[in-house]
Amino acid sequence: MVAMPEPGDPSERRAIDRCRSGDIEGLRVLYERHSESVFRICLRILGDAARAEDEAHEVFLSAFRALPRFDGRSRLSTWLYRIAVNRCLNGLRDGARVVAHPPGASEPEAAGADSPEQRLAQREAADAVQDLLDALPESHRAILVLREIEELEYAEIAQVLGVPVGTVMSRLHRARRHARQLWESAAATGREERRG
Amino acid sequence: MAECERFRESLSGRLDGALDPVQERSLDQHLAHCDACREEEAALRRLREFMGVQGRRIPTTPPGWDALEARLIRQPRRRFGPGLLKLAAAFVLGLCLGLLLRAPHPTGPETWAESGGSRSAGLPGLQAFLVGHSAQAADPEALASELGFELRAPAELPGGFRLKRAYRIRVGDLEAACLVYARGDQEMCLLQYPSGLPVSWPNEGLEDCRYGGMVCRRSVGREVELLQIEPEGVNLTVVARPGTLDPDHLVRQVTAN
Repeated sequence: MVAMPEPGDPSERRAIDRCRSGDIEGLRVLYERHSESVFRICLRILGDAARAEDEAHEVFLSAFRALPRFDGRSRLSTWLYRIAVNRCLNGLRDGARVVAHPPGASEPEAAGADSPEQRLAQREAADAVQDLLDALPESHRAILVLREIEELEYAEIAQVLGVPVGTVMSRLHRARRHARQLWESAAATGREERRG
Repeated sequence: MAECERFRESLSGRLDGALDPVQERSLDQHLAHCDACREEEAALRRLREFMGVQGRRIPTTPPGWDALEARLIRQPRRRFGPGLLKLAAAFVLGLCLGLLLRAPHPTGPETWAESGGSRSAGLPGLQAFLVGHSAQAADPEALASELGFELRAPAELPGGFRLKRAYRIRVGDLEAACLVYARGDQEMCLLQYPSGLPVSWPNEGLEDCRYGGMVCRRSVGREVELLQIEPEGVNLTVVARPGTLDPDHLVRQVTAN
């Protein structure tokens, strides 16, 4: 689970107040706290690092302008994720979808692995996850990113996607079933290629 | 098989700990005699492990703050939004008050006029006021009934400007309507007060500026200079003679009070 501050976190409230008064130092605090998750969501939905960087910035620019209207009924992170998901899905619907990405091209440089072999294995595994996500319809991709990668609870996913909690459960079921079929199919293809 | 289909959604729910005890027991009973569903559950767990672990394993480094900060300073704010509408409302009020202040005043040239906001000490040569205000989007028809005065809101204005939306604006104790008309990418706000007097404010001439860590907006005209800045959450809108504003001094005055 990604560490997130509690809803009533005082430092976050202060940062929000500073943003509302036009102080971009407040936005810097929020950016340092939430940009990694926002960027990861954009990256996994879009499948392209350059576009994800651009969208992540746009999320915070939009938030800075809209924070005076943020009513605090949801966590700030949920609100930011909602902006991010909407922006990315709109971007995909506008026809700019990345259909295929060369292995490793969509990811920031791997770090922290012990050896070049391990880094290569991690890179291939991460590419396989991205290939799987890219092959899914947008709605399935978004909900799997929020649940499986960001580990959001159902209620939070419902707020991000703007759907009832019951819909989250049924959509997750369909998305997992679809992903499982694609994953097993890809694994079977890989086995055949290795034999050939 | 039909029975299995009933339990497949529960398998997904159980992965997330979303089942209640009754659903858990029912699912366990089914799994006890269904090899296919047990295999399905195992496959879902493998998928989850694969996506979760591998999806998070590559560290994601978000783009740097510096680039965003540069964009924030460089990028103009919305061409026409609530902030500008508030500014427009304050500006109109400011013009009225500014004209009043041009007349000889018993308290001398350092007088501040205020409307619904904070009081501050006077600054030499400055005609300014503090305004508490807010803006809220509304449907033009609904807005007319809410405000309780007749809006003159033709669908189209001379020059091809068409009515797009409306805002309810509060300037101190005064409520007003801002009717937004657009022609291409040009927008203007037609302000209407209960007296019915329409005042127009074109969407141009405002520039972003920056003082300390704060973003502000500024317009310098022949007659007045206008600045909007929000130190510590206080909405501060200032109208003054051109060249007389010292925002840093002003901010210190406001925050000290």
